[in-house]
Amino acid sequence: MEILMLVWEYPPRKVGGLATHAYNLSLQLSQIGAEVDVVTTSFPGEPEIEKKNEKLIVHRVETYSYPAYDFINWVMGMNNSMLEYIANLATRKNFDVIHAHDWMVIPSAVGLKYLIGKPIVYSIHSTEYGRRNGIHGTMQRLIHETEGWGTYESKKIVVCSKYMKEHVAWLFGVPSDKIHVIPNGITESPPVKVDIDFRRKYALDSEKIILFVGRMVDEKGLNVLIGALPYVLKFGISAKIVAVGDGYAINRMKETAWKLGVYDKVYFTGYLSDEELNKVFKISDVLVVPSLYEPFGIVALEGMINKLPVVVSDTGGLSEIVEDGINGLKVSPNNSEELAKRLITLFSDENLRNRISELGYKTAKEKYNWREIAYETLEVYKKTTV
Amino acid sequence: MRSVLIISEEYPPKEIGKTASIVKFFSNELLKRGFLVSVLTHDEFNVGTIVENSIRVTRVSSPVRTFYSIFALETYLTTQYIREGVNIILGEKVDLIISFEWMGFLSAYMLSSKFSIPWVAVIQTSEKERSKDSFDLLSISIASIEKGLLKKASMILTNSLKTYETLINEYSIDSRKIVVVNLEAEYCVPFLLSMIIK
Repeated sequence: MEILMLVWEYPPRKVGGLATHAYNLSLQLSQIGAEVDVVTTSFPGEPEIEKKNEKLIVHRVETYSYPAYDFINWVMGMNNSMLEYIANLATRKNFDVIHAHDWMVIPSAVGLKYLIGKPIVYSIHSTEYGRRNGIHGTMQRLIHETEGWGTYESKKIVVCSKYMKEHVAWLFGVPSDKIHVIPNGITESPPVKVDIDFRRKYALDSEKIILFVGRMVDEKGLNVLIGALPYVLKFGISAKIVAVGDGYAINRMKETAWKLGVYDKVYFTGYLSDEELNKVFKISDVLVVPSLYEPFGIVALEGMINKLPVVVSDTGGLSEIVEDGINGLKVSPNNSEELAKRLITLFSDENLRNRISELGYKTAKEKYNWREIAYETLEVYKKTTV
Repeated sequence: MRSVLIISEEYPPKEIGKTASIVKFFSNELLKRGFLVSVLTHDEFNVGTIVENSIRVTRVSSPVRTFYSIFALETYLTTQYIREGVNIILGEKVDLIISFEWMGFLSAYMLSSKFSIPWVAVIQTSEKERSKDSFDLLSISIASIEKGLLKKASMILTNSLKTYETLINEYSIDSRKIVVVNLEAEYCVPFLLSMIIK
């Protein structure tokens, strides 16, 4: 089976989690017999065509010939470049399926669908409505409509959780038998050595490290976690939040910490490299994922695979990954007081910490395996060709 | 019967500039010479296929109703031109694709590339000329489409010597591919046919 995968980011270009997802999926698909051509955007210093193995070729399309004056027009220019490139590629290849990741490549996918007469499988990793809690402006409306158009034009839709399946079915009026749930996967990070000096870069020896990893945007709920910190400290637990990531709301988060009098107990690290982040996971005591909206919640799995106890909001995909009290703890979204209580319980009960860390690790390792995910995806591809 | 597919953003009754009347003129001239003529054009409200004076006209709208920019509209319409263009090409053997102005260039190129059909691009003025001193990022993007895709056309028709020079000097297009003709002169269409369809 020959697959054309369209995705705007692919390593080494990594902006969000999409690049890692597309890389792991394409690699595993190529290892179980599928032939995969990934078409993505160019990256400085990377070749235009890269043969990863006998069955996986990455095509990096130059997108800067259209110097965009804003984000949407950059996306449109990227699609023009991709279509132009694929027109040529399609004359040499005989693709069976077009796999589009998210709305940004939908114009290319649809153009190609009609040109070569092959079906689209559309992976929706999140929706504009969910990301912004509604549709509030022209740019958002255009993205939302493009997402809806993608659901109409595709033969199958892949989402990462049952929550997302319901959300997409409701939002775009898609029949639920068209939507398939395939979770994201996780791979273990390479082993690293960390010493006390490394830990001291982030916290005092006496402080428990509460780790947050995510974009500094409202939907990720860091302000809820910051709101929980005064309760934890008041209980006599010495703790510090290490907040990894960057985003438009970072100053507002800092302001929240300042107003609550815990500014010196929240360390905003900004963006960290994979290597540094891997080390930070090793020195942390708990990972908190306080999201208000989370289609899947890959960061929870990253905590689990690093054998950290995780505390997550009972929302979206996080609800499906974590079984409360078994492989993690759940709290109501947007509830700092409840979050504080669960953190206090966790810090006070070593047995609980150990138990949920071990079971969390087992869950991540066995249930969210990329090879299994590739097989499931291949099955969806096959359904489109029937 | 030989067949021609025309792609143009403008076609009567949608007339913004001169293009619509030139496309209409081309269509009628081709019809007179025994060609089956299909026109693919854009209309946000009056969509569908209809035969108007023996010319099959297919009007498509953008699948995304929110208007954001002319550049975004071009991208969305390209997918619809491809969809309808493939239907026409698969239904009958199309011998020639003619596209008018930049908004139809990408779809014309893709159809031409996929089905190995010669493609003639018609350009009355280039973006470089239109935008003159206010050459902003949008204009650069449109000029990039013109520059990148016109190089891939089998032939380029223009009615202006100034455009001819711009295409050569600014877009680095091979002068042998460009023909300067009066796009509304009666000899224009037979001349084009003699150049392209052997």
